[in-house]
Amino acid sequence: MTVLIVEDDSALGHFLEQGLKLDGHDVAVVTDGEAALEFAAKLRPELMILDLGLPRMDGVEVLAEMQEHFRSTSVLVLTGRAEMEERVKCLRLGADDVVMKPFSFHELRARLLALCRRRSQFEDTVLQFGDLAMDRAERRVTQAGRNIELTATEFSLLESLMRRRGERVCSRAELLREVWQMPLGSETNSARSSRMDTNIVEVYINYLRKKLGKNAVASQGESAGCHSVIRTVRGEGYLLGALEDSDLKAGAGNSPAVLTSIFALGERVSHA
Amino acid sequence: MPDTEEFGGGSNRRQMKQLSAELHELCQPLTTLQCTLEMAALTDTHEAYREAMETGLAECRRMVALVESMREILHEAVREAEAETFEADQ
Repeated sequence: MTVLIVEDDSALGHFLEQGLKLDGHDVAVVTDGEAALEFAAKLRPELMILDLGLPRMDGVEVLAEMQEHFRSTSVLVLTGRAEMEERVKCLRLGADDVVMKPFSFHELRARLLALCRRRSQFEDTVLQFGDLAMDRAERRVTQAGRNIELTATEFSLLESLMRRRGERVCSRAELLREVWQMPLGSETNSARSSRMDTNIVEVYINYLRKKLGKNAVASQGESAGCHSVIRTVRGEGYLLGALEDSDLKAGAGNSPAVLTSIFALGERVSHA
Repeated sequence: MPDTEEFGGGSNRRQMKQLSAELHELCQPLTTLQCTLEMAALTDTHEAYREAMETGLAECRRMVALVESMREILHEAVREAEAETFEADQ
């Protein structure tokens, strides 16, 4: 998720940023209310973690503005005040959750996950990207109208990529968390699990590329336009992109193995 | 939050408000301390433990200053309440 932290206490803001980044989220931090609204307009975050006591514009005012202009952003309020009335007021103003300080990071993570679950219930059942269509209810994927048989893991992996609609890179940490439910920090932990040592993400990305690549070749001539591919963004992660018919034809005479490598090197291919 | 009457009536309202504000302030370093330590335990690296220790010490200093301030406010409230009781007895 893209998360915007609005916290004027620099130590707490820094720590929250670190913790959520380790959890695979894209995180930005601002320290006052006006900056919060500017960043909300620019980033369109999926979640805002909002402290109430802020300089320049109070957290309650920010909350009201968010409700008016950025309803698609879920807001989790942090407050150091014990009064029940304040928590009720925040929820009535549109906050999705309220957490009282001091809080445990475990509790904050659990509440974020609960918010993610609630958000996903309201997402579209069918995801579309380029020539790819994914029906999450029927667990069916088509490319240019042709069925693609995917395993459960491949389906989850493609779903994670398609949910970002090619607009945002999906990091390895995000994929490990979303697809393999790897715990926080497992990527940097010295005591890595054996599954991590097998480069599981890269292996499954390659499986998906092969299936998408085969289908793109098979559907040539049946449909014009672009074909969806998984691009590697060095040092960042993976991103869905599109490959033009002409690019595909240039590799049409190649063996499947060579063609797969063309897809694997998506970052070197020009995109529509 | 206890009723102001428990602290000697209306004359201690100011101290109660100050205490409430200080208690609110205390929540900040306490949250940072708790979360930093939890994070270090989760990530389980030497660097994370070192950073947690540095952050923890800084946050402890903030908390000590706040507790000192709260203690002074409380002493002032107790002194005023005792003075009021003494005047009433006279």
